[in-house]
Amino acid sequence: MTPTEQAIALLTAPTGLVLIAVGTSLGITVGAIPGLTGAMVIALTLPLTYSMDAGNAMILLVSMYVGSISGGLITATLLRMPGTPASVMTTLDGYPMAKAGQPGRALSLSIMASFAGGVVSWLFLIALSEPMAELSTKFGPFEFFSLVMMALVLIASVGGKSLSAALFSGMFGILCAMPGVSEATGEVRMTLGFEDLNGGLKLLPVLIGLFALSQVINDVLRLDNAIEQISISRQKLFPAMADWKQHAVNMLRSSVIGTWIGILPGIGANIGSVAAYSTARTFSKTPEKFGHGSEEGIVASEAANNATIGGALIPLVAMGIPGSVIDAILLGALVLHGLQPGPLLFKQSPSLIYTIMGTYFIANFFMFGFLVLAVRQIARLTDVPRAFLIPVILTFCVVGSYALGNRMFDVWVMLIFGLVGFGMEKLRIPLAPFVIGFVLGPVAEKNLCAGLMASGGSYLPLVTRPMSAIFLVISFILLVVPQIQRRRGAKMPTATAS
Amino acid sequence: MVACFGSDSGSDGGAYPARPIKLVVPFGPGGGSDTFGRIIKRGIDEAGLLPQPFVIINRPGGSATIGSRYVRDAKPDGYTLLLLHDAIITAKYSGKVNYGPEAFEPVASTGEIGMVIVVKDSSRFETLTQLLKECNEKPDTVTNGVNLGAPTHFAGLQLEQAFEGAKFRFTQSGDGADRVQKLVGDHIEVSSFSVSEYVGFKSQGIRAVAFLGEERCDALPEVATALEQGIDVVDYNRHYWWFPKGTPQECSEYIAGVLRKAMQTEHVRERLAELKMEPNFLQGHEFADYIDNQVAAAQTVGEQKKPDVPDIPTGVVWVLVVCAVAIILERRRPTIGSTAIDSPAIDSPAIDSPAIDSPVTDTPKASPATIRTVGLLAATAAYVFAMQYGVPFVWATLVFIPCGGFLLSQHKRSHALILVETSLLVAFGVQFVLTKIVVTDLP
Repeated sequence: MTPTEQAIALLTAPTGLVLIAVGTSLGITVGAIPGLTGAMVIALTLPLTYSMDAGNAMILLVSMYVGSISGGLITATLLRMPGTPASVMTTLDGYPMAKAGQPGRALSLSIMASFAGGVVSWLFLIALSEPMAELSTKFGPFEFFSLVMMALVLIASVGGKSLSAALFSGMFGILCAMPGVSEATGEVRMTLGFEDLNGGLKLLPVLIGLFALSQVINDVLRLDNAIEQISISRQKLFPAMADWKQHAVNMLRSSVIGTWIGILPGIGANIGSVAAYSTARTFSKTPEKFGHGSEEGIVASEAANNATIGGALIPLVAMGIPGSVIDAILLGALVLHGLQPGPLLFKQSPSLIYTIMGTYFIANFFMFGFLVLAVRQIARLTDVPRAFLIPVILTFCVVGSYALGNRMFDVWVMLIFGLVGFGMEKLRIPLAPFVIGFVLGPVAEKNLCAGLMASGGSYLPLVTRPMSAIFLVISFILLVVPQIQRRRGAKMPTATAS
Repeated sequence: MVACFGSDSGSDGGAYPARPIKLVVPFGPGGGSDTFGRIIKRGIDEAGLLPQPFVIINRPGGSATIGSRYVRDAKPDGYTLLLLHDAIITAKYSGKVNYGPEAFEPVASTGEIGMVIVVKDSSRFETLTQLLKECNEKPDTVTNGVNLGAPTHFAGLQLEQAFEGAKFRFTQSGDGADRVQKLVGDHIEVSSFSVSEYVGFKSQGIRAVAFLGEERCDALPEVATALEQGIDVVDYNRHYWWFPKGTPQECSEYIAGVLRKAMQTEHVRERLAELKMEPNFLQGHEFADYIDNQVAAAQTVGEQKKPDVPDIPTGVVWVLVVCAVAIILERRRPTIGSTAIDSPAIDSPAIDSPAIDSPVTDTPKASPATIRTVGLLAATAAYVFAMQYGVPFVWATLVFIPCGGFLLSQHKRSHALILVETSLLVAFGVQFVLTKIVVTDLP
């Protein structure tokens, strides 16, 4: 059997289809419940995939990824609460439209756009992954180091409002990844005398703490807020042919924007939808409607946030570099299942990569179907009192952290990072750069040291090797240009004032 | 921690093994050790030699020390097994870790593989002598990709010792799959592989210049031995199986027996023949004596100086401090029209953080909410403490969920029943899924 056939066999087997159905519906449900995010549920599911083989595990996790990004649209539209951060932009137009008596239409447009975004970015995924993997097999340690630097700078400069806060977060992530056996030299360092730290801090407990536990703390703090929910009984949800036609250009454009932003390492779905939304407004004939129930706004936001998934999977399968927080977890899943993410993954386990691609494709159809058929039921689920949910989530946080290595130490790590995550949010320090730094820091260090050993301690190849130099130049531009723009933007009003 | 319900065995004699046995392979997949472990696993599975599943877990990194440390620190209950070759010795004598074979219970030694010295297909080096000559004439120029402190490194060191004045430039290059990529991509010039790794990777464009065996290897008749080329180096690699120190002797003997039988199975025989690996088997005293010899040999090559790399942690800490200062300065300044990513209209606060929803974030912290939050966190900490000190998972959860829920629902009586039901469902559900379906055990 060729790898493609293997992947198809796996996906069309009853187990495969059931996993996709379960993953997608669970993802949508979780995505729809404000306070539960995709990153959280995927991190909590990871230990459960322990006993599956790698293919089935990836099927489940990728389906959940698709579902969780899509599910956010329900509450964004009906409650003005984005179920996931990726749907922030959908609230701007979805909620006003729903309030104006057209919740069904708002949902129908969102569902249509999500599906289109998924399919368009899937095309990019299959077209770009292999060439990108091929290209990156030529990368040596210096290239990888520069590439990782670029990823870190990218998330810091584009991802947040404050460059210093984002850089701080990223560097803090790198620092937290350092205790234990050094990837570069094999020496044990920074364990502060804790034997348990020799193995380092593991990604999963840290993530569960940062994203699940800190979210729980936030939820508990504002448990009392009640929101008026719009009901959607008796509204047509299947998008009409006319809608597909009317929004085709916008959907395509937003999907492409979403995909490309997804490819950029370290930037997740939220930025993709922001970029597509503002582009749609620029091109719109009725820009004044944006923010007051514009159809184009809904379509742009939802097409783009779904498209970032496919985009972000590209560097993940091609180079082992995660494009977002959820991709970082998927990377962890690959490692947990004994696969080495990186350019060689295409050669070593092609069938797994095709499985990931195929899952992404099929999951989009399931997502579409589930949303059209079951949006009402899912919307009702969001009424479940937090008092029942939160203790259960806490239990899962504890079990999920423990199951990874059968160590209570990991549970304490999870609890501590829950507080760290909560504190960072309170201080307005973004969490995403932390995760990317945590994942990519060791990769950068390992490659830099390997490069230096090969060059006899000379840093020169960083700039003399063409690809490496290009990455560094791009990083430099990304770091400096937004700063200059920001300065100018800040100076202009003062100049006119005086 | 000891009380794992339903799975508490091992100590009560005849029941061993009552749970799946985890085999830790301290290398990435695709390498020699991983391939070998999977061959044996299949042998065991097909012949039904173990009544419980035999599960392979890759824990790569730190030149196999992350995996070996994990097993060293595991419960010595006979359910965590380590598959590790001479790296267990070389890691200690290269100063990487402070423990060696003495920190484990030896189980058995299986299989014997030769080592080859490998270059890229288009390399200018045709023979080992030629290679070492250049290392002698221009010391510290030829890059040798190794796993520092691992057998690949020691093979290189032995070559240096055998050829007066030859010096490689050793480069940290990771596992087998990594080294092939670096070799093919011209990032390193020489590397060493076990024969089975070499056979697997050969088609990617690499070529062996010498086999480090006593005689030519049947699988690679065209490759001359180092001895033939006048270089006095013989280096074999064997796969050893270890339990954590303190594991009952019966467990070691039981597993050694299983491995011995597995080595006889048709599947293992065939696959080892394909890899031209000798199906040697040692256990007990024989194995212990053999290890002592290997330790003595490693001592003669001696301790290596630590690799010269920049002090990255300190650098990161400095950048962190600079960023912190920048944040403080930035926040002191009044913010002038912060131009975010795109347009000013999209000034939603939740763009870069996973905190959701805009309208509600600004609610002032009501003190009942704070008390509730602190109470819940305290309850969670108590829950974890309880399990750490021996309270079984089910009981702890049955208490924790209703308490937590009661705290959150402002003591509504009507919720109590549902909360108890939820706790029953979660406690037993999770226990069932994790201990029966998934391999892990619970506190």
